[in-house]
Amino acid sequence: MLAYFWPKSNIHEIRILEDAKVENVRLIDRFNSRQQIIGNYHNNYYDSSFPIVKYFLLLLLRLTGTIYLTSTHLIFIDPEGKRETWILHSLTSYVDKLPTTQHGCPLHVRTKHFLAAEFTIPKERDCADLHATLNQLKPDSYEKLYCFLYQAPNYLEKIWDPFLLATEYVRMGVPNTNWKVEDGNSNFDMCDTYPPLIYVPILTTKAMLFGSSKFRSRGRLPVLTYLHPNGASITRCSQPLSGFSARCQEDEQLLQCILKTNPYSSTMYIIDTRPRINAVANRAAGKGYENEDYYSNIQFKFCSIENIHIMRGSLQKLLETCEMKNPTMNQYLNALDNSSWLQHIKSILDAAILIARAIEVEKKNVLVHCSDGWDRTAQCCSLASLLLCPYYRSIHGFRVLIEKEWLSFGHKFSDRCGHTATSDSKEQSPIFLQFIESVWQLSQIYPTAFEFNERFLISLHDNSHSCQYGNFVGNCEKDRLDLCVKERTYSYWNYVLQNVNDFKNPLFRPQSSYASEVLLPVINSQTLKFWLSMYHRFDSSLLPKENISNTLAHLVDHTLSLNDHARLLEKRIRELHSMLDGDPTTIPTTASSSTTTTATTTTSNEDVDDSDVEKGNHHKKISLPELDSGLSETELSQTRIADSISSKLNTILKPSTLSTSDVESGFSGDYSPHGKAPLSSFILQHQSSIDTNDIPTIERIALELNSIALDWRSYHTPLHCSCSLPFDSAQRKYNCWRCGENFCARCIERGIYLPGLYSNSLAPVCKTCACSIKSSPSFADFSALVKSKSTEFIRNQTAMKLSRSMIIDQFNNDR
Amino acid sequence: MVTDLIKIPCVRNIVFRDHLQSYPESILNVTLHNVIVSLKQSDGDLKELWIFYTNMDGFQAKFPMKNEFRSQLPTSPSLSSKYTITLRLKTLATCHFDIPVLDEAIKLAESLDALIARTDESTCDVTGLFPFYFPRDFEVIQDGWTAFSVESEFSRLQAISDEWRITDLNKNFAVCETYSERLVVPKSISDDQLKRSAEFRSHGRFPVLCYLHKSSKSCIIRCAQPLVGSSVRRCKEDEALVNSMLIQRHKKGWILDTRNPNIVKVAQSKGGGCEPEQHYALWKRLHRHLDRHSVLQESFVKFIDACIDQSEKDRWLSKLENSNWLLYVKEALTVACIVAQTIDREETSVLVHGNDGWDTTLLVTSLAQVLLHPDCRTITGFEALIEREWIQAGHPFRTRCTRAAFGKSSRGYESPLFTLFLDCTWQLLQQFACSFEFNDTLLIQLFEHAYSSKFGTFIFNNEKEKTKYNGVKKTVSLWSYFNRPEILRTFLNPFYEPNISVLWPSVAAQSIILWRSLYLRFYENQIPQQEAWDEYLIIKEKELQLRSYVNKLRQELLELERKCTEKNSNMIKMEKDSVTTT
Repeated sequence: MLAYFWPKSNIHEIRILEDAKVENVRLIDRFNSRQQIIGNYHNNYYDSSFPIVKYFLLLLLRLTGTIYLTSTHLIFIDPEGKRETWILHSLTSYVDKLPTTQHGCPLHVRTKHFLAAEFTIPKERDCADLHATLNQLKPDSYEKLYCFLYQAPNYLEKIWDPFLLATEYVRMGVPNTNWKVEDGNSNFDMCDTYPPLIYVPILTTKAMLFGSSKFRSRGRLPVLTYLHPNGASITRCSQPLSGFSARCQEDEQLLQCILKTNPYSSTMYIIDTRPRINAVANRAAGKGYENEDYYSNIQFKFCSIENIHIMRGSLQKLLETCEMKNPTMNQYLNALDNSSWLQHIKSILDAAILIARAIEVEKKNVLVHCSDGWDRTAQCCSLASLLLCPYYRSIHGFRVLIEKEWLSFGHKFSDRCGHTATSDSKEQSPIFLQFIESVWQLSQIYPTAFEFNERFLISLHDNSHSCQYGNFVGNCEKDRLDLCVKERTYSYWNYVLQNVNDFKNPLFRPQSSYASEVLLPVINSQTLKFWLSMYHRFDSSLLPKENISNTLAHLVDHTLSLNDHARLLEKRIRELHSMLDGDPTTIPTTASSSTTTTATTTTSNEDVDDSDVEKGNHHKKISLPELDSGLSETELSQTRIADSISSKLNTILKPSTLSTSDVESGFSGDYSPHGKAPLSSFILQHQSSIDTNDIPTIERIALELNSIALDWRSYHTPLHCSCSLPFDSAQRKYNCWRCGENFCARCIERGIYLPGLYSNSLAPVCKTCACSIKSSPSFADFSALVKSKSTEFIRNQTAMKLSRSMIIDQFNNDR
Repeated sequence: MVTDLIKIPCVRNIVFRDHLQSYPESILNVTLHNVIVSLKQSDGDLKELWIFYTNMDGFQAKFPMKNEFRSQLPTSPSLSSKYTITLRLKTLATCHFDIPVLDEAIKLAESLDALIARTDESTCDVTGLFPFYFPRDFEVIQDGWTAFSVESEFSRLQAISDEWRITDLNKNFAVCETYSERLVVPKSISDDQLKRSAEFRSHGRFPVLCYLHKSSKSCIIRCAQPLVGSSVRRCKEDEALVNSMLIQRHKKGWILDTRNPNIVKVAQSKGGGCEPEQHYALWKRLHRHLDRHSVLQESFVKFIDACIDQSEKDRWLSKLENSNWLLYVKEALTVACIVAQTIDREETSVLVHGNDGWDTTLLVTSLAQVLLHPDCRTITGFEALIEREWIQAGHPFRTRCTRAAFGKSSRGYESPLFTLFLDCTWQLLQQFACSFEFNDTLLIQLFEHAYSSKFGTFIFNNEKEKTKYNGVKKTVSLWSYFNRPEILRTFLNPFYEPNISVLWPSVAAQSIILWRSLYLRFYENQIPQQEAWDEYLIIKEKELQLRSYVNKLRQELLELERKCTEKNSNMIKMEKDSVTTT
């Protein structure tokens, strides 16, 4: 029942509204109410004829807690403070107060991310207050949206990684000999819901475009959205204002230009994603569809995707199905069937596959439209692109797809998701959700083809509603420009980038044919599944108790930590070997050994972590008597010096580096006074100038070995985090890389450099381990050293990342 | 003569089609036990496909008369000479043979008809089936016939409680034809008492122990219905036997009847019934109805029809709902959960029976054991469970599995109870993906072998029949085939982590899902799923390898460290010596 977590340190920053606290509230969980934690497992009781039922009432009575209201959240905390339910006001879809019962006054809160909480509040007046307040707290204008208030955790910066549509078109090879970029819409005067730059056939003229835009609903004229490597393209637009007989020469010409961009086909498809009857009905309103008599070489097709109102009703029915209390199998299947939700998903996927087939198999251009060309068209074009182009199946590519098809071409996120309380409820519709679910269905058919996982899709859906980030605010690019979201809010994509490991599909196999080719699935009704982990994600008792995808992520993380650690161990072993190598046979000639010494010295100067220097020097002394006669005099003398130095060094340093007890004693002990002091101090100076901290001392090695757990706690065994938060199967657990135990997201610190890692990257560590590792004596120097080096590294990396996209943009601008 | 049934030994130049592929220029050979189809692969190689008659559930021949055919399809001459035989297999696959010559097609259809009918229980005794002719083509590591004995299970029981003994009462199947020869019963009850109890139970299936729970020492008992009849007869010995199985006397046990009270009443009028409460005062009764026999069979037929129907004429979900199959899955799981809950939470014993105690009773007792007993979630444990609770307990496999989802049931005795058990197990596997040592490949294999097999494990109705036809000597056990490393490897679940606790699955309607990898495996492209599975294995393997590699490196490092220290101390010594000498 965990809605949105903030790191605990941030909690004090949330202002709790005055008097906005209701105590002794009971939270009734639809499925968990008859649940009790026994021994190791959550226990569902299967039959009410058993006397055990008596316990439940007792348990239920104890499950009382307190509701707190903040300006942004409703927070319910159970008496032990173990579980917190956070409900963001902008996610609340529906608050309902029911008639008072003997237990108190029930308050239902439903959210757009499918949480249905049922509170029972002792006093009716409190309940009424709460009900009224919750309704008032819903943002009633853009300015009050959560993204303008949200203060992200420290690691998230307010940087918007710029997305430029041009970059994506360049990737597709546009402009080229058939397509050009047109800036006619730079002031949004051709169409205010299109991006400033549009891509059109090379043969078009501005007049043609303006003419066509006048003939299309809301000025949404046909423009390029996807170009396949075989030359076939997807273009999108809105319905023509054809009525019963109107025609427009410019529009007809524009379509002929589009047809001519594809040399391989003499005809093209126009796919109207609406059912025929809807299209015909629109003719009465002066809109409609293209008359095949006026447009030559056109194949016209209808796909029966229903309109936003039917989809809204369907979702409503689906949610009612989800909220059924203890349905029988047949009631449940019947309700699911009656909602038609999966049928609608199928009709969308069918249309997308039809388009993809036309492009890939028939090599024909496809023009897609619906009514206004921003709902069904967006769904179909983006899904078809996803099927056609493997790039969109990566995390970055998927982002580009959404930026292009949904954000740039003006899907009305604010209206469809009902971001503000003032928005028309008749405009709301789960269009984006259907797209997300269609992608999920595809990812179920092809588990290895997508770089992202289910968690990513769910997060994307939630954030399109939550307005925590500015990306999905407003109805088109123009709205977002007017609201200055880029300056005032955080970017969702930045958040994704920072947490990218959580969103990666461990099964993704880039080299697999499914990940690298066009997907043309055969979809039957039987193929589609009900998305349990989306719609029932807060009903943990319904979900599989042991979650494979989380287990996989756990394995992948473990592999990551072991791999990094293994590289360090390999390096240490090499070092110790060379230390030990008193065996002359391993060094072919002194000359070469001295050159390797210098080589290592240079590398070590560049590299953060290298202690080869002193070892390189240490062990050359033995080869003196066996010097090759072929060596030149100078070389000889050099090696002599080097070796004499190193022999001294050995005698002095070794006890210090390797004695178990004390570093100091080895140094200042018996030997330095015996005339060797100048030499050793010289060496020492030389040493410390390189890296005093990275000598493989016994303490150092022990520290390194202790900092990485070889075995991790099994993913399933602990049922509570150390903070006593109960784990449920949907929740992702994180392992501390040091102790290997499982923790919840809040109990893991991410800013720790573990000595046992080769790569100096930040590792997730639990709080206890973080403390103990910070307090260990030799750690301080190490972390200081690593930090200075690696922050520089990270800075370079981010700079590189940003500059890469900027270079591409620059390139485009130049063109 | 059986060979007379083969009207045509070989048909050439046919097109073999299944749901996903088509192989032209194939050759079909008709033999005594199977048809062998030689498929021409795209690379020119031939692949042989054996289809046993025992695996054939039914076939349809579409032979339109020539002129009629022409009028239908006047424009496609290539089709005009095609006669199609559609074969429905018990594995749920569908395949088509397009035969160019009408005469050959008719002969083939006649042969198939006769040869399939010959495998029926009513026409052919079990020794005529392929398992009696199957030459073992692999080396047996562990003989499946002797791998799971009553004794080995009994030794586990002994460690928990010494109140039980093995009885030889049923030697030569004298008391009960459908039980095995050795059975576990309470020590305190004599063989005579058992005999009297057997007389009081339908088919002589008196109450025997099938599971003893470690922590509570409560047990699951199964039997057939008591022959109470309308005169409400009683049998003191049976009462004593049943009561002796109640370990904790202060708590009442539960008698779980898998029929609803109305059916019990009907049964009572025919001489059967349920234990009357006045005579079994230590026990409480619970009726949880589970459908069986023809009702279940019809449901399965409708269900598979819904799964493979791609015409989209009817709505899939409503067809699924009408079939009731998932409802039965949910019900069976619920009843099993009730049993497990009683055993583990209430800590009292459960006696389960229906009519004969060899159908739904076994479904409940075996599922409850999967929930309760961690051993049953291992591969050998699961095999032992099937051997113990299904085969030795006398589930009539031959009768129940004569027809699967497509065939017309001739006598109405077919019933997919074992399939239901596998489906329920799969639901558990789905919810507890890491608690099972095996994956769904094992379950699918079991499904296929239960209906049609080269092995003798599932072809008998009970132990007596197996002994009568000398099945142990003359056929090969499926377990002998399974329990070899190369086969076992394919059954392993890479995520298995032994979980000693009892499983408490969700039995809510939302949690019961369609077993796609079984029912739709011939109708959906399985390659992407296979690829995902391979990826699972790779990820797990990588982790294991790295772990042992890191472990090795650590040891090596510590060893080196030790050597360095040694060397240094030596060196210090030398240095010291030199210092002192100077």
